[in-house]
Amino acid sequence: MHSSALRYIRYIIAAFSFLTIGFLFVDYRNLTPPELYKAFTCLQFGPSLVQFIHYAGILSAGFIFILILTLLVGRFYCSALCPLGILQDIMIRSEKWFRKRKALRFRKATWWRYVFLGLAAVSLLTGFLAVFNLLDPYSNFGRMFSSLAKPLIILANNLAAKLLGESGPVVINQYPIRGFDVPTIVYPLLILVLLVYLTWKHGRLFCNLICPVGTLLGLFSRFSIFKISLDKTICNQCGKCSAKCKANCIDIKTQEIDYSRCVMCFDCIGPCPDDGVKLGRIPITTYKADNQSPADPKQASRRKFVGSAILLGMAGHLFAQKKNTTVFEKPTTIPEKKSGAVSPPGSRSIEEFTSKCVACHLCVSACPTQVLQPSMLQYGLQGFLMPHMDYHANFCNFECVACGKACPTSAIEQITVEEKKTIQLGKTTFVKENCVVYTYNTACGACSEHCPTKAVHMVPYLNGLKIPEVNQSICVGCGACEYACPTKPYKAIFVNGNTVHQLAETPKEEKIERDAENEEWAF
Amino acid sequence: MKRRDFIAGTAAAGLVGASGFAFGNMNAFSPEPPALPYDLVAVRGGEPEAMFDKAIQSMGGMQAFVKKGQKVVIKPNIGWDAPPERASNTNPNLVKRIVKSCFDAGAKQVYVFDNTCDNWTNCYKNSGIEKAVKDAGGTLVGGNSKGYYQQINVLRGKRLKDAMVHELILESDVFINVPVLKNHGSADLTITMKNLMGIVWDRGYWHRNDLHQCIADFATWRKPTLNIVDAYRVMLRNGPKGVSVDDVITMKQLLISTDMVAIDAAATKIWDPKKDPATVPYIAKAHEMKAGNMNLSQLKINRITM
Repeated sequence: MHSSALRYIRYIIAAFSFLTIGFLFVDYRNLTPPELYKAFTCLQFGPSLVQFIHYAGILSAGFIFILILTLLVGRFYCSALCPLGILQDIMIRSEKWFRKRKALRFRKATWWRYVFLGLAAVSLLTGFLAVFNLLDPYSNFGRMFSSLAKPLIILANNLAAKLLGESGPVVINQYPIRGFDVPTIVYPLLILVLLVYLTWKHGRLFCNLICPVGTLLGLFSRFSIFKISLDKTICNQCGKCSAKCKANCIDIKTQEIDYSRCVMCFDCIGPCPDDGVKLGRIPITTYKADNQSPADPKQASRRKFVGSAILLGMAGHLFAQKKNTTVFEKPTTIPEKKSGAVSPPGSRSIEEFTSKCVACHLCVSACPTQVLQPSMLQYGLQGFLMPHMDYHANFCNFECVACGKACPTSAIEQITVEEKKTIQLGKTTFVKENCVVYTYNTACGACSEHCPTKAVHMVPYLNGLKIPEVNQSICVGCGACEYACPTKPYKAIFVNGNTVHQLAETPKEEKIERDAENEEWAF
Repeated sequence: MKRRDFIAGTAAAGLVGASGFAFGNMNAFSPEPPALPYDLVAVRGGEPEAMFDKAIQSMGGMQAFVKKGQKVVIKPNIGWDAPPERASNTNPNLVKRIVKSCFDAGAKQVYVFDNTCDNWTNCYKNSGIEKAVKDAGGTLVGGNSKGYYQQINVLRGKRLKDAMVHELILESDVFINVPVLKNHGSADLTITMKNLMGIVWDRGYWHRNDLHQCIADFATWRKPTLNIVDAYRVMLRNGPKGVSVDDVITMKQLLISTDMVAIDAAATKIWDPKKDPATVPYIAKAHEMKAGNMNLSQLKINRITM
């Protein structure tokens, strides 16, 4: 097949994958039908593998398909399906807008990639997913788009809405950005900077050093049926192919290709003036780069840099503190003593949730109320960056099950609305001493207003006033009361997460008997 | 009027110590609109659309309130993600008829919004109001983002001295306030005055600073051009959101008036004939502050039974 045709096939598949998955993460208007989420993400290796560990079945077999694909055509996944890989290709292409593009060159493979693969494997096997999540390409892509791109797009939308609204009747709706917790964007930002650095300097080095999926697929792609090769009878070692190789895997001296690193982008085929770079069936060769002499000191220092940058980023996260800067006429004094974080409806328990969530933040983007927010250490270290219910940002819509439909690993299971209404995520606690009715002796009841089950209801208090009371048996832990409570800095009512979700009773009341239609005029 | 003009206008008005500046009949301090045949019209026994037609006809028709080429904003209660039969939100058929009636009277644009409590897109959709407004040719606007809201001063306010109000209210020529009558856990009843909490941004401030006084304070800021109370289906308990249809009874009533205090007093009597409107603190306070008249016996009322 002609080389440009191969590249166009890659472009088309890559564009589809990148645009669909990218759109899911920035879809602030929730335009995507919920049913499409899993269809678009089912071939993503990381989440598919995690899901398979817990729910082996045909719907979670996406990664097996990718393994088979890799045995056929090598790491085509990395160039055409992985959104982080495609993002890196876009970065490489856009380098020329910022500075003069340098030719890429061959690099020896390093054993460091197996350290990262090992870390990921241990993380998966022990169920301590936080480490895997920091490395997984799909999750990193999701976090960047959800935490960085989405807020920027909303800001642009709101600016456009303002400008268009000034001059006439055109109306674009504005959208809020809720609960934007700065420490949670540090890691995605760090990965973004790292990717720009690595792509502009070395091409796809992230994929061949840090990415555990890339390294794992590399173990299979050595044996793939179709491969790129240099025709040694034609090749005059001009190096034009190698200069285009984003994976730095064409050793022009030996005219060999390191198939464990080749991402099958086909960029090397076209530049060869003598058509000496070909895609075809090649007998299995074993490339020796891994076992060769120790790398030069310059490279070692670079590795150190990358390693320490990641460690630094993680440390930065752990020590970042959430600030409370609100000031109120008469500040409330009793802190909310939360016994635990609240995990999303359908996650069953915090233990189950944190052992299945890849922290991609697709649910965060899909959540129409933005109550789902990335966590820091609310779930402990093992739940780092996994989404939690942030009842200061908003509350969970009683009728909504969008997160379960979005989740690519079923860490949040798909549940029905009826089922959801009986799940108790946590229990509401009322702190009378913080309550407006108690401190000011004026009416409030914002909490009870928002309560979907009237687990929080108003009972008689002094001077005809009413004060909230909680019936925990029908409380679903949606956080509406906590969100609506107007006191600052501490709320007078808040939700303690259930470590294991429980069953809430259904509220029952008699029907009201009154024949109002046949009453006399009352005035 | 453009927002920039408005801000300049407000600043100028503030300097000369007069808030009355080019708001037409929406301004509480401007001369009263041309005399209407009644202070209050009450209709019962029909469908929402038919009751509204009767009521507005009795008030002199929509053209008494909406002039040709004017920009109209309608503020129903769309606060909750609940279907029409739950009566958490204003009846969509009523909203549709009002939008159409504004266009028939020559309105150039008709906007509808609410600063909802539940997620706004769900509220707009599931209340049936999104479809109703679109079918009638109106435009739905979000109320969910702080960027829409502009600072205003409440000169006569005791606890509420200023508020952030949705720009559509400030930019429109006509403001129609269309609440649904409901029980309310915090405010006792929610009718026209309480419905105005949906045109401001920071409701938490009201809750912290004597809710009833703030509701009454805000009623002194500016009178809506027209108030229409939907009492077709009425939520008698668990308000304002309600838990199920068991909280709701059918009453088939509708009220219209330019006086929020009067219409709220009448609605209180509909809600419970034995209830004295003065027992709803914000109605008594608003009456005291002369935002309107709660003494129904002093009003000229047209009662229509269909």
